[in-house]
Amino acid sequence: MSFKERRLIRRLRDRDERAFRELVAEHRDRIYNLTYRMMGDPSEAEDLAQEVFITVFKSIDSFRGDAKFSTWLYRVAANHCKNRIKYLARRHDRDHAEYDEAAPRLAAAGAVTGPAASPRPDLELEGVERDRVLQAAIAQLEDDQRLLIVLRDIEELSYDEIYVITELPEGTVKSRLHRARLALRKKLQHYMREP
Amino acid sequence: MSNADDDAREARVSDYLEGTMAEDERRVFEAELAANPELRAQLESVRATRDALSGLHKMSAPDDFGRGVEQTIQSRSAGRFFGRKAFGDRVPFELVAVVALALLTAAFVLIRHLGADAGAPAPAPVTAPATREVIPRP
Repeated sequence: MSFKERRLIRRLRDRDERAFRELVAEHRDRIYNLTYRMMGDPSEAEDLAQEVFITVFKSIDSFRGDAKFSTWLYRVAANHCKNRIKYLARRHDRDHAEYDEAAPRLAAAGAVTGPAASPRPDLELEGVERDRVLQAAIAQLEDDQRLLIVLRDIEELSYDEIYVITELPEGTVKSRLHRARLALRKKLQHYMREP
Repeated sequence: MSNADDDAREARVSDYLEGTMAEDERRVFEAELAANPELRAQLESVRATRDALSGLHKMSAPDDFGRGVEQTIQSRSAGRFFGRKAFGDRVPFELVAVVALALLTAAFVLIRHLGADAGAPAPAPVTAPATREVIPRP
């Protein structure tokens, strides 16, 4: 850990407001990018990223300095995302149960529509459209796979950092990442040109 | 093939793809690739996925993000979160200890110096001015 980082942490422990602003300014975009790619919704991502910084500030005394501060920050963010995904999944299940009960009535009233038509398989994806499709495919992955894809292929963190963040051994991270990439590929195959 | 074998094989694909494989291991893996079209197809598949992800746009937090975090902290803590702490909390113990030690050392040296001065031959006594004799009244 650098001298600058140690000093920042000491000031954070002293509840120095300026140190907090520095921390947010330095890491806000990367943490927001992580929460956005994990959640797929800007408003949800912003709320979650805010919670990450609040948690970091409240629990700064528990940071022991074993890893880089940014790695610890990512770990807090990853845990927040996983908890939130679990919470939303539970709520989704509950809502679906309510929806299933209401579906026959809605169908009778003509309110239920089918899924949007799939884009053409040979569509070459570019720019915003490619981002949208990739994000939709990422959102369909299991949360563990999603996290590995985001950390490694989007945030481009090193494997050493990912071992610390996920608390998984090296071989497990690499094999799960491989499976995550294959799963993502499968979801994207309708949109991407075959190599 | 066991799960552990599967994990090891999959980890090797990741290693090869990212160039983190040792030279001799890489040669063995490339021989496997040449002989195994299924493995080759799998490698190309994950490579294409990774390439697509690397071009993904990096998102930025909204402009007022920092203010939003501060406001949330302020409102949840009723304004008590940020603020000055007691002297002992703000100043590290090490600094207090060093300053105290320096002061004690300085005091010790000063006392020794004054003590040495006290042991030196006393200066000639100053003659007191003659006092007026007081004659008792009858």
